[in-house]
Amino acid sequence: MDLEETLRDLAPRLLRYGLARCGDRALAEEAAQDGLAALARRWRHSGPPDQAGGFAFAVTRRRLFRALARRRLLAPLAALANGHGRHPDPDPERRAVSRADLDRTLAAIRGLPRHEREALLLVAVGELSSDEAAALAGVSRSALKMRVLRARRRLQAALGNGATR
Amino acid sequence: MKAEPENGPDERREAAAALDERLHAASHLDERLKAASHLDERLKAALEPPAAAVERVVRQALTASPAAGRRRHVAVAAAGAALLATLLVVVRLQRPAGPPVPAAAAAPAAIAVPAASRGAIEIRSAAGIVTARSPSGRLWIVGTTPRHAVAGSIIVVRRGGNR
Repeated sequence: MDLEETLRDLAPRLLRYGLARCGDRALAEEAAQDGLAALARRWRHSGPPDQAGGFAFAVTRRRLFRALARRRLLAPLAALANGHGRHPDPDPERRAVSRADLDRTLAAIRGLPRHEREALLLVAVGELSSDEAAALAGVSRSALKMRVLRARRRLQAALGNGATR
Repeated sequence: MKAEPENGPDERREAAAALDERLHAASHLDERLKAASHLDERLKAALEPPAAAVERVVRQALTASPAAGRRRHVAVAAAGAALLATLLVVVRLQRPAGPPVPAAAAAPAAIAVPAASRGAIEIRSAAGIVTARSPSGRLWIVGTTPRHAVAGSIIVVRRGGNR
């Protein structure tokens, strides 16, 4: 698999993961792009890494973490600047998608405990293997699987009718 | 337990029950797997990014300048250096002022023993008269020297002498 193919395979996974983590398409896109750009640089400089997916996800996760921390820090200022704290979304793509379903899914994901949410997003949304996800989350493979299982149960309960039992 | 023809009816029934349980468990597992995959598909569908966004991200990653990483490193190094310089300035400003420079250094034609510390006796020779000044400021004339002092002269101050 060459660089462009790898990037094309990873891009939607990273974007989904970023959106699920932060609920903001623009921020998800920025973080995904940082992750992919870092992967491209590494690829050109010293060849493909052992786990290209794990590499790109690690960079994207770090960027998202920092961006979210910054946002939390500046939240009071943003709320002051925007009146009620909700700013109008200028992105027409975002308006076009089914907001109701997305919002419901994001709310259900946000309701999960942090570790379980992270495990589920890496495996189910980011499509990483259990080994890659476990390495990223810093836990054993079996612990990660247990977290994913619990997260799926909770999510099914939260999403309700659409999910089969 | 496996059901064999030579087993008695009870044993065969027991084996059949165990098999039923296994089948039941397997069908549960199938259902769980199906549910999991359905849930994953549902999640992915809800979070699916627009094709334009995927294309944009891939294009920008491919055309990202290789120097971008180096620029980032240079910026981080510059920020680190600035921080270090600021710290050094702050530390220097907070240090207490050093002892005053001994006046002997500026005295003309003087053989002087510079004060090693604040409490030292200061001995100097000016215009052929050797004087000693105690730390409290008292001044004694301790002797005379040739009008033109020779470099390297040693003035010996004895207790009870040189008065």
